[in-house]
Amino acid sequence: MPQIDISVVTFPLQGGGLDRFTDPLVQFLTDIANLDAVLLQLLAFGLLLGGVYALTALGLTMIFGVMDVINFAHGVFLVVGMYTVWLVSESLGISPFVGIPIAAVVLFVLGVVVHVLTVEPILEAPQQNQLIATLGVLLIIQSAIEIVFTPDPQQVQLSLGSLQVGGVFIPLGQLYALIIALGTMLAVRAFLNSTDLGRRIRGTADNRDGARYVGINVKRINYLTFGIGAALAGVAGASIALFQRFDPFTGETYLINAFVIVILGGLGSFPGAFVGGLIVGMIQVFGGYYLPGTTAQVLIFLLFIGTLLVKPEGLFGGADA
Amino acid sequence: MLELSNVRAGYDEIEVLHGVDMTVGEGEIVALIGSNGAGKTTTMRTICGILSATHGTITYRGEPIQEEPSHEIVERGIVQVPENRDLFTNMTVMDNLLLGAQTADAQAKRDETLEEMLELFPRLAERKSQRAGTMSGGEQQMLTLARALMGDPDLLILDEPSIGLAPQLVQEVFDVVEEVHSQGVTVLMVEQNVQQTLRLADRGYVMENGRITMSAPGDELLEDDGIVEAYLGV
Ligand SMILES: Nc1ncnc2c1ncn2[C@@H]1O[C@H](COP(=O)(O)OP(=O)(O)OP(=O)(O)O)[C@@H](O)[C@H]1O
Ligand SMILES: [Mg+2]
Repeated sequence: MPQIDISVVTFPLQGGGLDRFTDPLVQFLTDIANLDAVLLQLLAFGLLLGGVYALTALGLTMIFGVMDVINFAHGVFLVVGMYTVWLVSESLGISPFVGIPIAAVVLFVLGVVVHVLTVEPILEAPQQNQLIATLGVLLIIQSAIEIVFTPDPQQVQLSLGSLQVGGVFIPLGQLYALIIALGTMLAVRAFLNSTDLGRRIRGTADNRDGARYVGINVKRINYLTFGIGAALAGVAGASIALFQRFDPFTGETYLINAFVIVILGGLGSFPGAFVGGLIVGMIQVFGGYYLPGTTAQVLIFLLFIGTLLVKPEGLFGGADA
Repeated sequence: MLELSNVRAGYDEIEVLHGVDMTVGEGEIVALIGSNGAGKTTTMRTICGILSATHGTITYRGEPIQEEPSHEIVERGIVQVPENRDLFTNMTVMDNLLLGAQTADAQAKRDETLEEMLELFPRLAERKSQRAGTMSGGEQQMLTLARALMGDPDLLILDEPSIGLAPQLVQEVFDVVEEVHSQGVTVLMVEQNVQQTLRLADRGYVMENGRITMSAPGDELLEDDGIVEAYLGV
């Protein structure tokens, strides 16, 4: 049995004793020492979740990169995406997979409208103004969904089953969500890197005044970016709905994790969102398995605070759009 | 071609320009000189819509442009090399050049202009895929100039294009300006190299404390004792 230094675990404990936290660590290290099969399973779950998390953070980081706006409404954009696939598949009988691009379009339009009505008029104001305005948007849309669809959890009817690969269990709903997330991220990257509009968006993110000097219509880039960011939230939410029940408030947890990912990866950084998503996904899965209760979420917050204290610019320092 | 009439502008509550009058005729090279903090850069920013004039009018080819956003002004053919460069520092040299061509006209001849620029500035050709922010100061200044030319300007505004350059590069910048001018581009420039600038310029304006205090043909200003004393340090 490996010797463990308990000073690495410093949670405030109310009863239950330290071994509630040291035991899991011992267990974790034992599993590693034995190359236990459970590790592979957890890695698979971490990857599945992390990829989707990365997508939830992508739109947020893009909007920040271009406009320096912290968009709280992002959380409810995810939820609108979830309800869109649900509604499309329930009431119109269309496949949820077809619902995903529909969610992207719906959210793009919603994003542009929200931007023009609430963000653009106060874009030059101090940052907390936009933060509060978008929080207001979150609350309004959340309540609207609650009124229309009740607060009851909903579920997209899909029985996709699962795969078994070398003893590792992979739920297909999550696998499809991961594939959609990765595909979307690659597509966005290609769009930003190799189209004129993508280059303009990167330029505006890099230097707003520079963008104005060369004659980019910065206002237009702003609302397009907000729309694209919202559309990405729509795709993320729609993919999450493939494997999870949701209610009007589901977006909140995802929003918080998306913030952690964005800070961890570096505000405005594309690769940062990806790596950050994987890290947070892994912590959630491994923490959820080994640690008691919601300790995993606490770990994620510690990581968040730690990043802000030690490396506030994040892993990828906000160099990319 | 360009006419400023009683233009007032500034930052927040501070007025920097207290009624500037200035004209630039088609095909001219016009120089604006003045001591540090006189308001030259503020004037250039106001022309391009980066700052907005609080009073007065700016007309370009007979149409008022003082209310227009910067991209519409670029659309009209006015492009600036800004004082602090404002390059896209995290993007490549090539990206910066391509971003210079925004208007439909500029985009139509983008490849052609690009080729010209890479010929004109071989240094940029060698460093196409380097990040602009990692280029030397002189190289960045060249890139800023090339980026502006990618915009296919009719009126090129240069705010201290030779700032921080070695004498040889300063000469190169002046050569480029002359070359561009000979191709029919009108030039309005702010420069610290007063002597060299006034020799090149058709006309010059002197600005002090947010007002134009003198305007005359370049060679006359060069012979003016006051100017010589104030700006040429002799
Ligand atoms: N962003 C700003 N906010 C407030 N005041 C400013 C700002 N930029 C410039 N100023 C002020 O406006 C005045 C004119 O500045 P400006 O940059 O136009 O001068 P300039 O003639 O270009 O000087 P230089 O030769 O040093 O470049 C200065 O007093 C300066 O302090
Ligand atoms: Mg200046």
